[in-house]
Amino acid sequence: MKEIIVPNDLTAAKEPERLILTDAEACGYCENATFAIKLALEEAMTNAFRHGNNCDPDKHIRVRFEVSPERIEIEISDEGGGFDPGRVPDPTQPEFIDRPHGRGIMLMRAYLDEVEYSECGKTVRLVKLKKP
Amino acid sequence: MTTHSHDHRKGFAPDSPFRMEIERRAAVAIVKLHGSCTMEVSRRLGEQLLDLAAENITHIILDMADLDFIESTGLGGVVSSYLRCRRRSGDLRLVAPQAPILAVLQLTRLTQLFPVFDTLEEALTAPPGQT
Repeated sequence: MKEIIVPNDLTAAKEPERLILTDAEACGYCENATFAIKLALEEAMTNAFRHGNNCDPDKHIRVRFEVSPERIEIEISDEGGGFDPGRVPDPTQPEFIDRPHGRGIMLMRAYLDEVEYSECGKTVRLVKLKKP
Repeated sequence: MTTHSHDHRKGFAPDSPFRMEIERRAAVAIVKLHGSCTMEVSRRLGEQLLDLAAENITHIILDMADLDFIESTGLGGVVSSYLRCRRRSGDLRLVAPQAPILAVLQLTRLTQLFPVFDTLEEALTAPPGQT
Protein backbone atom coordinates (compact mmCIF):
# COMPACT_ATOMS: atom_id res chain seq x y z
CA MET A 1 0.00 0.00 0.00
CA LYS A 2 1.05 3.58 -0.62
CA GLU A 3 0.99 5.92 2.35
CA ILE A 4 0.69 9.68 2.68
CA ILE A 5 0.48 11.72 5.87
CA VAL A 6 -0.97 15.20 5.54
CA PRO A 7 -1.37 18.08 7.99
CA ASN A 8 -4.82 18.44 9.49
CA ASP A 9 -6.28 21.01 7.10
CA LEU A 10 -8.79 20.62 4.33
CA THR A 11 -6.56 21.95 1.56
CA ALA A 12 -3.77 19.50 2.40
CA ALA A 13 -6.41 16.79 2.71
CA LYS A 14 -7.08 17.10 -1.03
CA GLU A 15 -3.67 15.65 -1.95
CA PRO A 16 -4.50 12.00 -1.18
CA GLU A 17 -7.70 12.42 -3.19
CA ARG A 18 -5.74 13.62 -6.21
CA LEU A 19 -3.30 10.73 -5.95
CA ILE A 20 -6.02 8.10 -5.56
CA LEU A 21 -8.19 9.45 -8.36
CA THR A 22 -5.19 9.66 -10.66
CA ASP A 23 -4.41 5.99 -9.98
CA ALA A 24 -8.11 5.12 -10.44
CA GLU A 25 -8.14 6.83 -13.81
CA ALA A 26 -5.02 4.91 -14.85
CA CYS A 27 -6.77 1.66 -13.85
CA GLY A 28 -9.80 2.46 -16.00
CA TYR A 29 -12.46 3.20 -13.39
CA CYS A 30 -15.56 4.82 -14.86
CA GLU A 31 -16.80 8.26 -13.93
CA ASN A 32 -19.51 6.88 -11.63
CA ALA A 33 -16.88 4.98 -9.65
CA THR A 34 -14.55 7.95 -9.37
CA PHE A 35 -17.46 10.15 -8.26
CA ALA A 36 -18.20 7.58 -5.54
CA ILE A 37 -14.57 7.45 -4.40
CA LYS A 38 -14.23 11.22 -4.45
CA LEU A 39 -17.41 11.70 -2.40
CA ALA A 40 -16.44 9.02 0.14
CA LEU A 41 -12.92 10.44 0.48
CA GLU A 42 -14.22 13.95 1.06
CA GLU A 43 -16.60 12.66 3.74
CA ALA A 44 -13.94 10.56 5.46
CA MET A 45 -11.28 13.29 5.35
CA THR A 46 -13.73 15.91 6.62
CA ASN A 47 -14.70 13.61 9.49
CA ALA A 48 -11.02 13.02 10.31
CA PHE A 49 -10.25 16.74 10.17
CA ARG A 50 -13.30 18.02 12.05
CA HIS A 51 -14.54 15.27 14.35
CA GLY A 52 -11.41 13.16 14.80
CA ASN A 53 -8.67 15.77 14.97
CA ASN A 54 -11.05 18.50 16.16
CA CYS A 55 -9.68 20.98 13.57
CA ASP A 56 -6.32 20.94 15.41
CA PRO A 57 -3.62 22.14 12.94
CA ASP A 58 -0.92 20.32 14.90
CA LYS A 59 -2.48 16.92 14.17
CA HIS A 60 -2.24 14.81 11.02
CA ILE A 61 -4.28 12.48 8.87
CA ARG A 62 -2.70 9.28 7.59
CA VAL A 63 -3.98 7.78 4.34
CA ARG A 64 -2.91 4.37 3.07
CA PHE A 65 -4.25 3.21 -0.27
CA GLU A 66 -3.97 0.61 -2.97
CA VAL A 67 -5.58 0.96 -6.38
CA SER A 68 -5.75 -2.07 -8.66
CA PRO A 69 -7.84 -2.79 -11.75
CA GLU A 70 -10.20 -4.82 -9.54
CA ARG A 71 -10.58 -2.76 -6.38
CA ILE A 72 -9.65 0.41 -4.54
CA GLU A 73 -8.84 0.08 -0.85
CA ILE A 74 -8.19 3.08 1.39
CA GLU A 75 -7.49 3.43 5.11
CA ILE A 76 -7.82 6.83 6.75
CA SER A 77 -6.63 7.40 10.31
CA ASP A 78 -6.87 10.46 12.55
CA GLU A 79 -5.23 11.29 15.86
CA GLY A 80 -8.41 11.94 17.81
CA GLY A 81 -10.13 10.10 20.62
CA GLY A 82 -12.27 7.88 18.41
CA PHE A 83 -16.03 7.45 18.33
CA ASP A 84 -18.70 4.77 18.10
CA PRO A 85 -20.10 4.80 14.55
CA GLY A 86 -23.01 2.70 15.79
CA ARG A 87 -24.25 5.69 17.77
CA VAL A 88 -24.53 7.97 14.73
CA PRO A 89 -28.24 8.23 13.87
CA ASP A 90 -29.55 7.35 10.42
CA PRO A 91 -29.97 10.75 8.74
CA THR A 92 -32.64 9.41 6.41
CA GLN A 93 -35.06 8.72 9.26
CA PRO A 94 -37.90 11.28 9.36
CA GLU A 95 -36.83 12.78 12.70
CA PHE A 96 -33.30 13.44 11.40
CA ILE A 97 -33.86 14.47 7.77
CA ASP A 98 -33.80 18.20 8.52
CA ARG A 99 -30.63 18.05 10.61
CA PRO A 100 -27.78 19.98 8.99
CA HIS A 101 -25.15 17.38 9.91
CA GLY A 102 -24.65 13.62 10.04
CA ARG A 103 -24.83 12.47 6.41
CA GLY A 104 -21.17 11.65 5.81
CA ILE A 105 -21.07 8.06 7.05
CA MET A 106 -24.37 7.26 5.37
CA LEU A 107 -23.05 8.55 2.04
CA MET A 108 -19.83 6.52 2.37
CA ARG A 109 -21.86 3.37 3.00
CA ALA A 110 -24.20 4.13 0.10
CA TYR A 111 -21.44 4.66 -2.47
CA LEU A 112 -18.86 2.06 -1.45
CA ASP A 113 -18.80 -1.72 -1.17
CA GLU A 114 -17.20 -1.81 2.29
CA VAL A 115 -16.90 0.76 5.08
CA GLU A 116 -15.33 -0.53 8.30
CA TYR A 117 -14.20 1.32 11.39
CA SER A 118 -11.43 0.10 13.67
CA GLU A 119 -9.21 1.42 16.45
CA CYS A 120 -12.26 2.75 18.32
CA GLY A 121 -13.37 4.71 15.26
CA LYS A 122 -10.00 6.38 14.61
CA THR A 123 -9.44 4.44 11.38
CA VAL A 124 -11.90 3.84 8.59
CA ARG A 125 -11.30 1.35 5.78
CA LEU A 126 -13.02 2.02 2.47
CA VAL A 127 -13.34 -0.42 -0.43
CA LYS A 128 -14.71 0.18 -3.91
CA LEU A 129 -14.89 -2.74 -6.32
CA LYS A 130 -14.79 -2.21 -10.06
CA LYS A 131 -18.08 -3.28 -11.55
CA PRO A 132 -17.96 -5.13 -14.88
CA MET B 1 -35.25 17.44 -16.21
CA THR B 2 -31.88 18.12 -17.78
CA THR B 3 -29.49 15.45 -16.64
CA HIS B 4 -26.15 14.15 -17.75
CA SER B 5 -25.37 10.46 -17.59
CA HIS B 6 -21.70 9.51 -17.56
CA ASP B 7 -22.02 5.79 -16.83
CA HIS B 8 -19.48 4.61 -19.34
CA ARG B 9 -17.09 7.53 -19.49
CA LYS B 10 -13.64 6.90 -18.15
CA GLY B 11 -11.64 8.97 -15.75
CA PHE B 12 -12.48 11.80 -13.42
CA ALA B 13 -13.02 15.49 -13.83
CA PRO B 14 -10.69 17.60 -11.69
CA ASP B 15 -12.33 20.10 -9.35
CA SER B 16 -13.58 23.20 -11.08
CA PRO B 17 -13.63 26.52 -9.19
CA PHE B 18 -16.69 26.89 -6.99
CA ARG B 19 -18.59 30.15 -7.24
CA MET B 20 -22.06 31.55 -6.63
CA GLU B 21 -24.04 34.13 -8.58
CA ILE B 22 -26.84 35.79 -6.64
CA GLU B 23 -29.83 37.64 -8.02
CA ARG B 24 -32.35 39.18 -5.62
CA ARG B 25 -35.97 39.67 -6.61
CA ALA B 26 -37.79 41.14 -3.58
CA ALA B 27 -38.04 38.25 -1.07
CA VAL B 28 -36.66 35.71 -3.54
CA ALA B 29 -32.96 34.99 -4.07
CA ILE B 30 -31.83 33.03 -7.10
CA VAL B 31 -28.44 31.49 -6.42
CA LYS B 32 -26.63 29.93 -9.36
CA LEU B 33 -24.00 27.46 -8.26
CA HIS B 34 -21.00 26.74 -10.46
CA GLY B 35 -18.21 24.20 -10.23
CA SER B 36 -17.29 21.78 -7.47
CA CYS B 37 -18.54 22.33 -3.92
CA THR B 38 -15.74 20.34 -2.30
CA MET B 39 -14.75 20.04 1.35
CA GLU B 40 -12.35 22.98 1.44
CA VAL B 41 -14.93 25.45 0.05
CA SER B 42 -18.29 23.96 1.06
CA ARG B 43 -18.71 26.09 4.19
CA ARG B 44 -18.88 29.15 1.93
CA LEU B 45 -22.14 27.86 0.51
CA GLY B 46 -23.85 27.58 3.90
CA GLU B 47 -22.48 30.94 5.04
CA GLN B 48 -23.72 32.68 1.90
CA LEU B 49 -27.18 31.11 2.11
CA LEU B 50 -27.51 31.97 5.80
CA ASP B 51 -26.50 35.56 4.99
CA LEU B 52 -29.35 35.68 2.48
CA ALA B 53 -31.80 34.20 4.95
CA ALA B 54 -30.72 36.89 7.44
CA GLU B 55 -31.81 39.56 4.96
CA ASN B 56 -35.46 39.90 3.97
CA ILE B 57 -35.10 36.83 1.76
CA THR B 58 -37.63 34.08 2.56
CA HIS B 59 -37.46 32.08 -0.66
CA ILE B 60 -34.20 30.70 -2.02
CA ILE B 61 -33.87 29.05 -5.41
CA LEU B 62 -30.65 27.11 -5.98
CA ASP B 63 -29.85 26.65 -9.64
CA MET B 64 -27.64 23.55 -9.68
CA ALA B 65 -27.35 23.04 -13.43
CA ASP B 66 -23.66 23.99 -13.46
CA LEU B 67 -22.74 22.33 -10.15
CA ASP B 68 -20.72 19.15 -10.68
CA PHE B 69 -20.04 18.07 -7.08
CA ILE B 70 -21.33 18.61 -3.55
CA GLU B 71 -20.51 16.85 -0.29
CA SER B 72 -22.35 16.65 3.01
CA THR B 73 -21.04 19.90 4.54
CA GLY B 74 -22.42 21.76 1.53
CA LEU B 75 -25.71 19.90 1.83
CA GLY B 76 -25.80 20.79 5.52
CA GLY B 77 -25.51 24.46 4.64
CA VAL B 78 -28.46 24.13 2.29
CA VAL B 79 -30.48 22.43 5.04
CA SER B 80 -29.61 25.17 7.56
CA SER B 81 -30.78 27.92 5.24
CA TYR B 82 -33.91 25.94 4.40
CA LEU B 83 -34.74 25.79 8.12
CA ARG B 84 -34.20 29.54 8.41
CA CYS B 85 -36.52 30.22 5.44
CA ARG B 86 -39.16 27.81 6.74
CA ARG B 87 -39.29 29.56 10.10
CA ARG B 88 -40.44 32.65 8.17
CA SER B 89 -42.97 30.73 6.07
CA GLY B 90 -40.58 30.58 3.14
CA ASP B 91 -39.02 27.70 1.27
CA LEU B 92 -35.97 26.55 -0.69
CA ARG B 93 -36.19 25.10 -4.19
CA LEU B 94 -33.67 23.31 -6.37
CA VAL B 95 -33.32 23.58 -10.13
CA ALA B 96 -31.81 21.08 -12.56
CA PRO B 97 -29.29 19.16 -10.46
CA GLN B 98 -27.03 16.97 -12.59
CA ALA B 99 -27.68 13.23 -12.32
CA PRO B 100 -24.93 12.39 -9.77
CA ILE B 101 -26.05 15.23 -7.50
CA LEU B 102 -29.72 14.34 -7.85
CA ALA B 103 -28.76 10.81 -6.79
CA VAL B 104 -27.07 12.18 -3.65
CA LEU B 105 -30.17 14.25 -2.86
CA GLN B 106 -32.39 11.22 -3.30
CA LEU B 107 -30.18 8.89 -1.24
CA THR B 108 -30.16 11.36 1.64
CA ARG B 109 -33.90 11.91 1.15
CA LEU B 110 -33.37 15.63 0.97
CA THR B 111 -35.73 15.64 -1.98
CA GLN B 112 -38.40 15.27 0.72
CA LEU B 113 -37.41 18.72 2.01
CA PHE B 114 -36.68 20.55 -1.21
CA PRO B 115 -38.82 20.45 -4.34
CA VAL B 116 -36.74 19.89 -7.48
CA PHE B 117 -37.70 21.65 -10.72
CA ASP B 118 -36.52 21.15 -14.27
CA THR B 119 -36.22 24.86 -15.04
CA LEU B 120 -35.73 28.13 -13.21
CA GLU B 121 -39.00 29.40 -14.66
CA GLU B 122 -40.90 26.49 -13.12
CA ALA B 123 -39.24 27.06 -9.76
CA LEU B 124 -40.16 30.74 -9.87
CA THR B 125 -43.80 30.21 -10.77
CA ALA B 126 -44.81 27.05 -8.90
CA PRO B 127 -47.07 27.71 -5.89
CA PRO B 128 -45.87 26.71 -2.42
CA GLY B 129 -45.91 23.00 -1.72
CA GLN B 130 -45.88 21.99 -5.40
CA THR B 131 -43.08 19.83 -6.74
